[in-house]
Amino acid sequence: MILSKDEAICLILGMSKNGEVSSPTKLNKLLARLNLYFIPIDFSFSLNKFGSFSVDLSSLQANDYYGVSPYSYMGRSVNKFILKPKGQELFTETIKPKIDKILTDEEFNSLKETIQYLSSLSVTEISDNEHKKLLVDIDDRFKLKQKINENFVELSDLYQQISKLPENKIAEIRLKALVEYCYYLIKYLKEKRFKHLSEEEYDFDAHMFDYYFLYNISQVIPFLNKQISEKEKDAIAINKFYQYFVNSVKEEYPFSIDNQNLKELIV
Amino acid sequence: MGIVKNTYAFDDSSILKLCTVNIPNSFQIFFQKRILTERNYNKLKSLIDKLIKYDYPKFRFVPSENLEDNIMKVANQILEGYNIQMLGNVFKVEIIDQLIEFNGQIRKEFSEIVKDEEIYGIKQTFESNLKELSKEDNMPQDDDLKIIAGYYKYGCDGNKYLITEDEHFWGYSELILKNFNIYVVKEWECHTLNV
Repeated sequence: MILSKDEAICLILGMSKNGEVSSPTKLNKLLARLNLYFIPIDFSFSLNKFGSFSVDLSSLQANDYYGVSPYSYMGRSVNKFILKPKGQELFTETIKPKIDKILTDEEFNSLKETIQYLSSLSVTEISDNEHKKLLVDIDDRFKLKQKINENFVELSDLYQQISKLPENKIAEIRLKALVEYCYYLIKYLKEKRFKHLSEEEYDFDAHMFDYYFLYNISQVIPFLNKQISEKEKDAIAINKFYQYFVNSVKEEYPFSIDNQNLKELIV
Repeated sequence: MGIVKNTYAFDDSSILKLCTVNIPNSFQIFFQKRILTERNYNKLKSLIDKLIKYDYPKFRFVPSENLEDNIMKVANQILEGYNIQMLGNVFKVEIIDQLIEFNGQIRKEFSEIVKDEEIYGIKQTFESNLKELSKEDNMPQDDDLKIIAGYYKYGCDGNKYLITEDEHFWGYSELILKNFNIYVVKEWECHTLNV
């Protein structure tokens, strides 16, 4: 499961104040924020000095689902995005049923409140401490490596345990697959991606998913630990995490099931 | 005089086997192909094509029970004989997710026969004619009996065919034909049916 570009934009607009977002930069920030909620969207993000950035948004045109309306702000023309009735229909009939498979009603309402609140803030306010949180800054390199090592050790332990898990329900098989995927993903980040990261240079043009995945893996480990010993599995949450890690990235990201050379990164 | 039309109904597992699974790029090296199907796919597809050609509706039984079990069973059957050397659990889930999606789409293409909850008499017929099957349980499950009860009640001027791989049906094909007027067709022989 993944939200297409139009679906992801309509999700953000549908949850934003008055169904609109006041600039492409703000839309970019809000879409990027969906990663911290484990929602897979068909947008690729790279890293620049100011945070995560998606080139896909630079040439966004109005379509049946949303309009682009220029307005003047501090002497320059800025584009505002507005949800159209067809976009609202897409939200209700297509996007919400997809979201229902990965979020509970409570989680969806919390996401809606957060996006509504963030959409009323400035771009700088939205960015907030995202860099710090994701350990992107040069000053945080030590913490970054420490976090990778901790996560790798914990996932190695979890990975050892999955062969003992039963496979009587889809949620049980999916949990095994999730642990398996996260283990090889963190191994890739540790041994391939971040191994030779310079201590002095900013990681310009990095694939932002390296940082999102590292952060999100650390978030999901306590849940995995708990679920492995639980008799009744939390099928919705397991599906949410699985869909996020496995389906957020396509062949342009090395560690992806759509990359035909993935085996070389695993073996 | 109008043409007498036969009825062709499929059990849930057989319907799921009509799914063609797209193999993600990274796993294609283990298969040397892009699409994966269950071993009876071609036979089932051949029958479905004949039904479409002669404008026959195809049927399934509702409500659908044991869907999760059927999906896992078909996923395992699709994987049979293959050795996936990386992310084996992930690959299985990818098959499962495609089967779930396929089930959501394909069910609209099938007309429905409602299962019947009243199975007391049918159960007795089976209990007094129990056979030794290769399955663990010789007695068909209640859901199997509900399918027979519903199909028996379903009005049809022609013959009724039930396409299935379940031994609980084909193991009792003579009994089912004699008592309930339903022809049980083994899934792997369904392509030989003349429509």
